[in-house]
Amino acid sequence: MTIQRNRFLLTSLALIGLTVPTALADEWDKEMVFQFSAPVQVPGKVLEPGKYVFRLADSPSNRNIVQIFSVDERGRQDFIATILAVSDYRLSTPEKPVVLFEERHLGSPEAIKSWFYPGVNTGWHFVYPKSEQLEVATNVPPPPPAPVSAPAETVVPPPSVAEEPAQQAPVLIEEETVISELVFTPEPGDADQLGADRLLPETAGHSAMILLAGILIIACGLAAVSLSQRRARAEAK
Amino acid sequence: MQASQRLTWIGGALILGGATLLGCYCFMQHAAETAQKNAEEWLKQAARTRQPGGDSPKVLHERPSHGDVVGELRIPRLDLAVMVFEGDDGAILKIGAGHIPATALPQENGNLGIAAHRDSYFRALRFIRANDAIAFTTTRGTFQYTVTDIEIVRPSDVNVLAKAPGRDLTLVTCYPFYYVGSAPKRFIVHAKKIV
Repeated sequence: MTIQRNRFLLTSLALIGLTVPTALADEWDKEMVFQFSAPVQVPGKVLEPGKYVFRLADSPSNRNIVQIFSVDERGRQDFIATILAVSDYRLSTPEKPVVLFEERHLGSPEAIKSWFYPGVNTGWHFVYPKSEQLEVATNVPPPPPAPVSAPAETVVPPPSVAEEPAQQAPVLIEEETVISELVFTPEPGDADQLGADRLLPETAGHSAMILLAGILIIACGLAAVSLSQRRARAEAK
Repeated sequence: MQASQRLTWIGGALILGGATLLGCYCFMQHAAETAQKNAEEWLKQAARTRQPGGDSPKVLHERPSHGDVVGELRIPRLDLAVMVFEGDDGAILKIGAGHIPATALPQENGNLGIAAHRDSYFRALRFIRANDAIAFTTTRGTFQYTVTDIEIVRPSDVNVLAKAPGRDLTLVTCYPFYYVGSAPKRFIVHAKKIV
């Protein structure tokens, strides 16, 4: 268990190793950018190593819908998953982004349990189906049989009825990872506020067309005047 | 009326109409140049008054109002220099480039969006390349960018203005550059801040 825990700790540190300088944030949608150096599990999906954006869906009524996007080298975001999370709570307000991981089977990627936005006690807890949860082995070897060797005159006390330990629930080893550096701070302006019905500015401009039209019309006018003068001369002859 | 006289009248009317259009064009150009010149003077003055030992600076509002001077955009390799005003509507774009509202300002972390007409101030963008240097000067100083990406999108693709890693400045203009009328696409230049 100690070896597994150490391995888990090392893996978690490695996972976050490249995440530190690339965390970004946003106030309304709590946008965070994480870079994972190893596969990471979220409900229903395994995220391959890379950069991902976690943000809340733009829903004023439900602030627990988490959307995940992958980010390529050009900064383009591709939609990965929408996850219906549940609220999580921390007693201490994190000053930096916090991600909680859960251990999974050996060889399986660690799963994100919860994440917290800096300055907010409430975070988002990912709920996994039972098939994805950790299954703890319950093979406890039975105690060796007591030797039957008590003499007749010795009163053998009745065996005490010791409570068997209740079957342990799966042990979730949590590792809290704090993103130590916040690179990006929320901004007052946000292009997302442009609205879904907004278009990019109309930048065609009409000055060139006006110039061209003016020149053409003058040319037509000169042609008409020239033609009329030619006809007048012909009529005069 | 003889046909030749009629033709003369028509020709004269056409010449007058064409001259009126040329006059409108010249007036628009003059108004734009005056606005650009005034904005440049204001920016120089504002920069001077901010230097130590200068007069008390005029405090610029945190978020500029519509029509305010935001700064000057320069792309040295293309010999492009244009003053940028707050707003992206037709009135602003006639006199210069426009800072797209709801996008970041240069001193903020985020994506600064600037739009301009493709047949005037941003015509030279058709020659832009990756790694071209862009400078944006405001009253708070000069911010340097380098071009990272160029793409052609639909007018509805406003996500090009969204914040993203390495996307600190986005220039928007219509595409194709030689299209007559309202162009169907948008030419987008992304740049990241280096200083």
